[in-house]
Amino acid sequence: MSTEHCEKGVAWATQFAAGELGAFSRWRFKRHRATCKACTRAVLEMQEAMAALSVLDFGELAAGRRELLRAAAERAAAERAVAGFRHEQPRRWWRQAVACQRLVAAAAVVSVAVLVAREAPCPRQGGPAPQAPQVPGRIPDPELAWDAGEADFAALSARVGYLKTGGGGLQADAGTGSIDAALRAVRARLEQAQAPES
Amino acid sequence: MNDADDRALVLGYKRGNTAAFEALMNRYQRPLLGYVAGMVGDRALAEDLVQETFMRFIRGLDDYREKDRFRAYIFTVARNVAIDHLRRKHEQPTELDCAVREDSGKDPDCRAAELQCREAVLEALAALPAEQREVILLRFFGDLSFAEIAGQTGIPLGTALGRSYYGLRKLRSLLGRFYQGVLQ
Repeated sequence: MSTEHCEKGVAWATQFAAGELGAFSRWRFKRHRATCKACTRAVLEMQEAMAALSVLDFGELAAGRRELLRAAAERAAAERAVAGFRHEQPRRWWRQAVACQRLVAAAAVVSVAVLVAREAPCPRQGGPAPQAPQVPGRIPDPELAWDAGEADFAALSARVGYLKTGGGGLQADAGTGSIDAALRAVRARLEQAQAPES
Repeated sequence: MNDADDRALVLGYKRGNTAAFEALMNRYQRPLLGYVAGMVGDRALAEDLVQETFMRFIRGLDDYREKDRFRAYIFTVARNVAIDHLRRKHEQPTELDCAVREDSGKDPDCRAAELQCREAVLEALAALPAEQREVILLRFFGDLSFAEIAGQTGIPLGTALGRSYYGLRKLRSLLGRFYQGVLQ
């Protein structure tokens, strides 16, 4: 092997002289160096040159130090002033992610609430739930009122309509008898009402 | 001194603690002075440029990201300042001004020898190609790894290693006989 130059020395010896090699690489390079005069000399020269550089210690800043400290103090004061208006901790990515997730969750809750409110079961589409008229001195339940001879036609038809659209409700109340009687009566009333017109 | 300390100091300064900045300055002014003086070959000018480096750090405090290594960051700033200066003046760092401050308590002969050594080293550095000199100074004063130097100067790792290798060997040969005196 030539004593003038070694291709391995360029990277290897440089890192060795700079103390950047890991333990295993250092051991391998030492083994290589034992048989390579070029690398041995290169490392020695580099270490000597680095030792020579150590004389370039110019000490501390002689001038401008005070000015620097003043500028730094001004900036620090500005930072303190600004800190009063902003959050102390800078927002990290995970904080932003959590904040974003919260927003998404809140939006989802609002959307679901709106949907539920829209889709809420209503006895009749497009109108309020039918209620028996609350007239003082009268029996409020139209069914009972029918039985009592004080039938409120509108309330009773509303009730019947509810039962019709309610499906199972009619079947469930069918056994009572009074609803059937009411239905029959309403149908008869309706037929009577339609008869003169036709 | 480690990176965590540096980060804590920068964070402290960002929160308005001036003492943290002073600690950072005390920590880095010497290596920065050596690095910049090696780049421009003038100690007085190097002082100005180091001051400008710290001023840029103060002004651009928000640019510093916590994950960055402060040492690498401040040396990058110093490098940019030195390069800006050299471009502005179209200077080659050959003119030497090694005025040593009067260190009380030092033997005059010793001071003279030290001054001679510095002149010789600065002359040798000035004779190196700029690329080699830059890598050597960043490695020696900045204590940056070759990977960091490669990233900072935009060259491959192998090129950074090669520049350091040939630069140091040339520096050693340039110092010649004087080198013995430097080491002693």
